[in-house]
Parts: sequence; C-alpha cells; structure tokens
Amino acid sequence: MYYRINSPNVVREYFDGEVVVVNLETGTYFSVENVGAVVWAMLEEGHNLDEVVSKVSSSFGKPDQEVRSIIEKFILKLLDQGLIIASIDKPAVIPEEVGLISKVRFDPARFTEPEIKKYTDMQDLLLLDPIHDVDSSGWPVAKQLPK
Amino acid sequence: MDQLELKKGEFLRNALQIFNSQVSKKSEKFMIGLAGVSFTFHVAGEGLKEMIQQSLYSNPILPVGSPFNIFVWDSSSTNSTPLQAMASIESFTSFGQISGWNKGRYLASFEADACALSLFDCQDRVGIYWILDSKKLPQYVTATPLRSIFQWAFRTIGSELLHAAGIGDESGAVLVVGPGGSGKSNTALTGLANNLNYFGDDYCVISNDYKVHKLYSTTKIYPSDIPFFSENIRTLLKESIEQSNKIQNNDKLVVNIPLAEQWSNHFSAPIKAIIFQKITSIEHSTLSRCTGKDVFLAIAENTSALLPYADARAISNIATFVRSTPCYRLNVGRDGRGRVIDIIKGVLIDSEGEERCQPQ
Repeated sequence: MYYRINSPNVVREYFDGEVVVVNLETGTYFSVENVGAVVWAMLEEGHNLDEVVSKVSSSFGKPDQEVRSIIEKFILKLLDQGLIIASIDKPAVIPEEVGLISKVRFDPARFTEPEIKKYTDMQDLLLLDPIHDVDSSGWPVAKQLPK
Repeated sequence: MDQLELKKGEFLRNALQIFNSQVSKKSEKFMIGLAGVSFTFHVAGEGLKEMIQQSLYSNPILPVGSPFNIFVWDSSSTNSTPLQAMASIESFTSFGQISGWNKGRYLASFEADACALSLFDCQDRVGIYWILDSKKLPQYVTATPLRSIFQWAFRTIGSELLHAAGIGDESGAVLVVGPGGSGKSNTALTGLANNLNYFGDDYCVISNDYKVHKLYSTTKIYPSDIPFFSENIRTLLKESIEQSNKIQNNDKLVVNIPLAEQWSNHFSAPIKAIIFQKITSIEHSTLSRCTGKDVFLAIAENTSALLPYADARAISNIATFVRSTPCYRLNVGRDGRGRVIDIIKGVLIDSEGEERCQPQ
C-alpha cells in the first residue's frame, strides 16, 4: 500500500528536522517529529509500507514486527486527520520530493511511538464562529440575540 | 474556464453593475499608496471614506504600475439594491470562507457579524467590499478594514499580509510575532514611544524582498490598560485616546497612531529578524535564538485564523521567509517594557550585516 499527501487541501513544510503539516480546509496545524517525521518523509517520497518499516527498523535498531504495528497505527492517525490518502499505485513523485529524508532529524537511540501534535491556538483566538451563528434565510446575517 | 468560475465572474460583474448604476454618482474616488502598490478607491456610504483614510498609512508618493481598483459601498446609506447571496447557507463555512470561492480568478469571503462581503478579481485587479449597513460595522472591521482584499491584492504581487507587529530604526526592522495576548501591541507602542519606527501592532505587509511595510495606522487598546502604559505612550496617544473615548463605547478603544515626523518618509524597512514574544513571570527578560518552527506556527497559524484563505502559496511564502530570517525567542519578564526595547534595539544592531540564509 502507498500513501500520498491529501493535496491540495494539505501542505507541509520542513523546519529544523521536523515536519509541520497544515490542513488548509480546516485551518488546523500539526507537527510530526523523530520517528513520525521519518515515516512522513518516506511516504511523501513514494515508498510503500514495507519500505518504510524496513527503513525505520534499521535506523532505530528495532525488530520489523514491532515497528510495523506502530507505523500502521500512526498511518491510521494520519488518515483519520485527512492528511494522507491511501493509494494502491505508487504515486508520482516530483524531483523536489526526492531526498526529503535528509531534511528530517531523528535520534536513532530514541525510538518513540510517533505522534501527531495538533495545534489549537487558532480555536482559542476565535471566541465565536460568526458564520454558524447566522439566520438561514436570505443573506447569512447575524441572528438577533434576545435582549 | 469551468462553470463555477463563469458563475463567479458573473456574480462579480453583477455587483459592479449595481455599483455603476445605483451608487457611482454618490461615490468619491481617491488614490493611495500602500506597501508599494497603488490603490484607487471608489467609495460611497456613510463614514466609509473616513474609515478607510483614517485607518491606513497612505504613502503620498504613489508607486508606479497599474493600480488596484477597489469599490466600497453599503446598501443602507446609499439606498441601493443589496447583493444577493451567491450560495446557500451551507456553503458559508467557518472563518469567513465561502465554498468554491477560495481559489481561481475570483475570490470571496464573508464577515457575518458585519454582513460584509469581500470579492476580488485577481486578473483585473478589482476588489469589491460590500456592506449591508455601514453603521453596523463592528470595531474590528473599522479598525482594520478590507483585510481580505488587501491580503489577495498583496499576494498577487508576491507580498503577504501577516499577523505581526513591526518596529525598527534607520537600519531596518524586526517583526514581533506571538499569539493574542503575547504583548505585541504593547511592545510596538513602547517602541514608538522610544522613537522607533512603528510599522503596525497587529498586521504588517511583508514583500518578497523581505521588507516590512506599514498598512494600518490604528491600534486597539483596553481603557483599563492605559494607566499601565508608560508616560511616553500616554502622552503620545493622548489626543487619539480622548477622541476614541468620545466615540467608542465598546470594550476596546480604536486609537489612531500618528505618523511620527521622524519616520514620515519611512514606510518600509528591511526585516532584520523575527522575534517570537511571550509574557512570562520571570524577573529579567531574556532573548535567545530559536528555531523557525515556533515562529512559523505563530505567524502562519494566527494569520490564517484572522485572515481567511491562507492558501498553500501563502504558507510556502511564510515558510520561505521564516527560514531565511534570524529568529529569536523573547521571554518578557517583570523588568519592564524599557528592557524589552533595549533588547530589540540590540537585535537591530547585532543583526547588522548578518547573512540572510538562502531560501531552501
């Protein structure tokens, strides 16, 4: 099984060895580091699950079986957040996406279960969602609040 | 061109038709220069011309190049036909977005509590800002109007409207970023009171040559904060605060920041560094170099929260800008704003001659 970024709704940027992933549709930001960053970069480069497992196992000195179940769980989280899409065929990889693994920083001695850190500052910034507090007729105009 | 784009174009032309047939005779036309671009405004409606002119730092030297034409009116005071919604209520999503209008030649966003629609034609450089009733505009709109249109207009020339404060001196400027409540406004105003050049405390424009540009000349402050401002700031803003007190009853005051004479010809400056600011309870403020990730998140996330449609290009532009600019973390302690300004002045000096990284 292969996976690709759910573009154009999802974009990513590499910063200081980590990956920041943005879901433009929901305005949600995520960061992925260490093992997760290795997995992300490899998926983006068009590697299949077996190749990712093999790379992570050798990089972190862990048995394939242990690594596989952890990576499968991580991939499910990425799918669940709508950040990647499963694909039977190998996705086309543009030249700029080759060698992404070199942009990732990981510690071979620190094999931790990969996580997606979700940033929610944006939700805190917006105390109300005006669009959903609107009337359903004509122009979406703000509901009259009872006095 | 697909069917949706054709419909979008038709909607924009119909809106312009309403302006031309019902509003234009009542409108006023004026040109202003903003962030290296000329804008020709066609404005009709009670208080709208004043709102635009008073909230912007207009450069008297108009840049060359074809201007953006921006049409602004309200239906209530011009007694003109209100625009009809271009889509069903389900298409109006969070943060002002309208499904199908976030890409392509024609863009739109909607501010529900202002009942204001922003439309933009990227190809013909035409913007429309239609309001149902100008008297019902909330304060965040009157303080920083036309944010979506400016965002789209600047993006067409490779610039970005960012949620950040900017202050500087003759040599350049720093951007101060951080979430709401991190003290950006206070730092920018303190810099202003200490004779630094003020580029904005909430929104600034960055161009692709890594310069910061002035845009909005307003700030929003809580009356309860005024006693805590330094004497310098209170003196500087005395007149504006008094004016605001007379006209505003809301929680925050919209205060106009006068263009300091010393900086009246300095509408832009090269960006020396980005400072990620955080209020802490430590005794002494500290400054340290930091990675670009936190700074990127602070800029991109907050910008996209406050401006709909921070699209892939915007994210990429911001990321490239952050990667190529020295980034610092400033933990603001209890030793006062004066210390923060000393630190920022130090950054401006230390960054002198610092090599800007090549974009990756």
